[in-house]
Amino acid sequence: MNHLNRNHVLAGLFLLALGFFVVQQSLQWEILGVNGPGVGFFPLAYGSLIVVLALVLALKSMWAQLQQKRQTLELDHPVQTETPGKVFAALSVWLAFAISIALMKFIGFYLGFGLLIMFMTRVIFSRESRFVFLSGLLVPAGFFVVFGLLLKVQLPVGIWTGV
Amino acid sequence: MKHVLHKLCLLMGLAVLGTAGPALAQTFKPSKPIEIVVHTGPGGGNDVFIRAVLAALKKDNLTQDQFVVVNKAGGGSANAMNYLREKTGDSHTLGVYASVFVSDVLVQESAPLGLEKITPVAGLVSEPAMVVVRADSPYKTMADLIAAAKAQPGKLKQSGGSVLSRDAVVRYVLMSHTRAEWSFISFPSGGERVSALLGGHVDFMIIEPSEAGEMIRAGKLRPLVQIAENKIEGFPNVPLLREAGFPVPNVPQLRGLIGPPDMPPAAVAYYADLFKRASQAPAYKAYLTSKQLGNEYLAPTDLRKALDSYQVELRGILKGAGLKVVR
Amino acid sequence: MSGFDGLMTGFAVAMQWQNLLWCVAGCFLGTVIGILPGLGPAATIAILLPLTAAMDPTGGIIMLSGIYYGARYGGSTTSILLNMPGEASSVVSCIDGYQMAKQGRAGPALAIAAIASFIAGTIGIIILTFLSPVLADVALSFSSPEFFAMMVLGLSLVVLLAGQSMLKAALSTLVGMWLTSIGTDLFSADSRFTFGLSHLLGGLDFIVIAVGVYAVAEIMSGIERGDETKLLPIPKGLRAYLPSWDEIKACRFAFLNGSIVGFFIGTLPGASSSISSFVSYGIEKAVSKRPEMFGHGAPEGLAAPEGANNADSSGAFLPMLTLGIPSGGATAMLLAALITWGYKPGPLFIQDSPELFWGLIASMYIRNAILFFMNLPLVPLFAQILRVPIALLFPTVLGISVVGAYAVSGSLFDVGTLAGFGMLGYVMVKLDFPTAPLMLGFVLGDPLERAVRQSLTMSQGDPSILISRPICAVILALAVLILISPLFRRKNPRTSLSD
Repeated sequence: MNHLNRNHVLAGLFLLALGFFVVQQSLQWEILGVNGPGVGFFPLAYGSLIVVLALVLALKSMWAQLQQKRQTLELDHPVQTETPGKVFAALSVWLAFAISIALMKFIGFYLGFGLLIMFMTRVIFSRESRFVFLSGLLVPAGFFVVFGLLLKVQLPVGIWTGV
Repeated sequence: MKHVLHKLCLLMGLAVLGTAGPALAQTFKPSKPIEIVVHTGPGGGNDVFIRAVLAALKKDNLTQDQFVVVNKAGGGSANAMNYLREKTGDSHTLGVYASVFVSDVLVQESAPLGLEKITPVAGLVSEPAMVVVRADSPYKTMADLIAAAKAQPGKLKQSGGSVLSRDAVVRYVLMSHTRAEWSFISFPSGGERVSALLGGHVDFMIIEPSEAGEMIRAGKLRPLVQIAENKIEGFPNVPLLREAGFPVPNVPQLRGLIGPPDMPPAAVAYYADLFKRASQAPAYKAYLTSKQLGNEYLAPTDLRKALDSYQVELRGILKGAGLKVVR
Repeated sequence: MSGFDGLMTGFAVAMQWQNLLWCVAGCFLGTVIGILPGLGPAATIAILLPLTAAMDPTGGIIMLSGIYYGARYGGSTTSILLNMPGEASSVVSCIDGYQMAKQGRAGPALAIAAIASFIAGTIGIIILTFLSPVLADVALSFSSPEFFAMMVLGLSLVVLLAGQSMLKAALSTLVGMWLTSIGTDLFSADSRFTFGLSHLLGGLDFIVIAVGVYAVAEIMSGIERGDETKLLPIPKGLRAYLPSWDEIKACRFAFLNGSIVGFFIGTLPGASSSISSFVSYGIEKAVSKRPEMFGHGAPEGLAAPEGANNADSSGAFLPMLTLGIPSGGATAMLLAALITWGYKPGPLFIQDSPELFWGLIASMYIRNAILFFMNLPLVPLFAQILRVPIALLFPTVLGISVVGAYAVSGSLFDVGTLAGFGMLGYVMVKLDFPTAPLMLGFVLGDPLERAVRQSLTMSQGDPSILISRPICAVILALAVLILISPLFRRKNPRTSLSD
């Protein structure tokens, strides 16, 4: 709960920045033209709303944070901190995903996807090597057959594997 | 010994040149399926067009080559142009262009390719258009329409595509010629544009004969003028714009083939020849007639000239219309 | 030829064995395609077009429209089982469908989706059969101001999709609206928020965002939760795969709601298919006696959008067959197919080619039944997907997301966008920001802006056009009612307890 409020404040501030950016950009465009609202009208509208609401969110969360701090001081309770859980695992999967996509540009879908599968089965799910290798080999092959051949969907080809 | 070695080298050099020489002038033959890039999704104008053309090529038995249509929709022509840029120098990639390719380059700062980089391959068709109103509209001729527009500036409404589309360009041209003024309402899809007209929400639109043909036949729409160089078949009673008293430059919707930058000349020649033969083949011609497309084949050099001159013309028109031209 | 006679003639045509065969083929292919995100009926029809050129036209058009329709059935399967929308219109089915699956009711969820699709499909086709000419005119009277009203109605649904925090829902919606404005403006050819990237000139793709925010983010959440090997509790026994009578009864109104709303919105050219699923979901929640259940596995929250997206495809045939106007890529391809066979779709189509028209309509009934009986027995089979160990399932889902994202326009940029939105979705879930409003804002933002600007150009700057026209006024009133409906809800003590 403690962390949630702080995160809300951060989210609020981030959205505030986004809102400001949108407003600033839209002011550079035509707001009201001859034929009615111009390009900048709508971005200005929702950009301003984002600014207002983000501010409210940030302030509300800051207030809630203060309340909480006061509560814990009064009650003299150790604060129930949120266990990090396996957030790190989730984020590393995302990172692996992003990297494999970037790699696909060079080594193509088969290898890029294969690497991702092997990462996930080995590192995240701690499977034995045989499983890791087999899945890294066979699953992309399956994709190739189903998508590439049967359905004729284009799969990304890489610079080093591309024809 | 040295002599012999020298002679041997000379002979070998000559032999290499001998084989290389014809290789340079050797005719190109596709060694894998050829990709044709289209800037719309499946079902869009250029997509339907090129698929039909390819089907006609098959029917006419003009080629054994395999063609694959690749859809790269987005940002007008930007995505398609991007793809062509990535395929610089490739002999097995073509793209179908439309007039929007020219206008996008003029207006978009981040356009991936300038027109001068693109390799022209073959001009194929020019698509005429017509100005149509609802069948129960009070305007019987183009002159009526323009007169009404002059009488109440800004009151008449035309439905059309984006501000760079052919309908919009015709509007600029006509408005500057007649000094009349009417508003332009952009709808992203053809279906919406026609619905707006049929529903009485706008007064007129500019539409291709193939789209409007059936509605005219059913008596729902009335054509006022044709926007073309030559009269379209099937509409003998509809005057050309210049015949109706508006001698403005024609604004065609051009479709044809381009290639990526630095495309090998042998490949260009191959495709240009293929489509030249197509333009005289029966199934292809039949398709063009059925869609009322003008069969205007252009060889690569002519296409280059046509594109360049169109770009110049369009630049002038767009500037005059107050649009921001960046090139 | 009037409705009933025509239908009888049509059935005679449609029941011929070869046409039935084509129907089955189309349905099957469509279902498979619907399952895969990024692969849509339009692309498939385009690929098959040259092959169908040599076919008998009746069989051909029956097969092609079978593909179009089957895709709606298939899209719900992955939405429910994997939180991965196969199609734009299946996004809303993820909301309650996946929750049902998480609670071990994957089988009932799939079955309810099939039932809702069947009922809505039938109703839609009946409306198409008998009311085509009338509705065609009604649809034409809809233009930008009415569209605006509809978008406002859609946005007022944010209030209902709000869940806990209205503030966060509003922020989600607004961000969604910002995301959809990225790209080239239709009216002025200016580009907005493209940061000089030519890839962004066309804007972001809805499916890419949806698959990222829903499927990819869910995988990340699943890993964080430390889900066990088997993804979700597998029901035991055949009975567990069927919905209970209570569940079906709860969906009574949803079936009707989905059909009417879906069909009508489908008839409007320019209304994307996801709009009808959002609107019918919202209406269902607005009239429900237990709105707090929505988002937590309410069967009617699944039935409404599922019905809507089926009725929507029936509705899309209305302008196509009565006027020759396409409602989207798939119908445009169907029209192109008809033209290839030498037909002339337009206002005179029904007159000129009654056998084809009525044969097609009759085949729709048959197709509806085929899809239902094809999909219902497959429910236990599909549910077995959940038996796949997540060590394999998760990477596979990521792989399918990549293929789907790439299939949108053949650029790795879209796949990168997918990853980006996966992270966004994950962050949103962690921060308890509702994701449905983000999708809603994205879907409605562009049409709303367009409708306003078009309307104001039509009225030469007079804003009263937006409220003065009769249909507009009615819809806007409805929107206002929806907006204030939570106030009435608070009076109900049962609801306020669970809030």
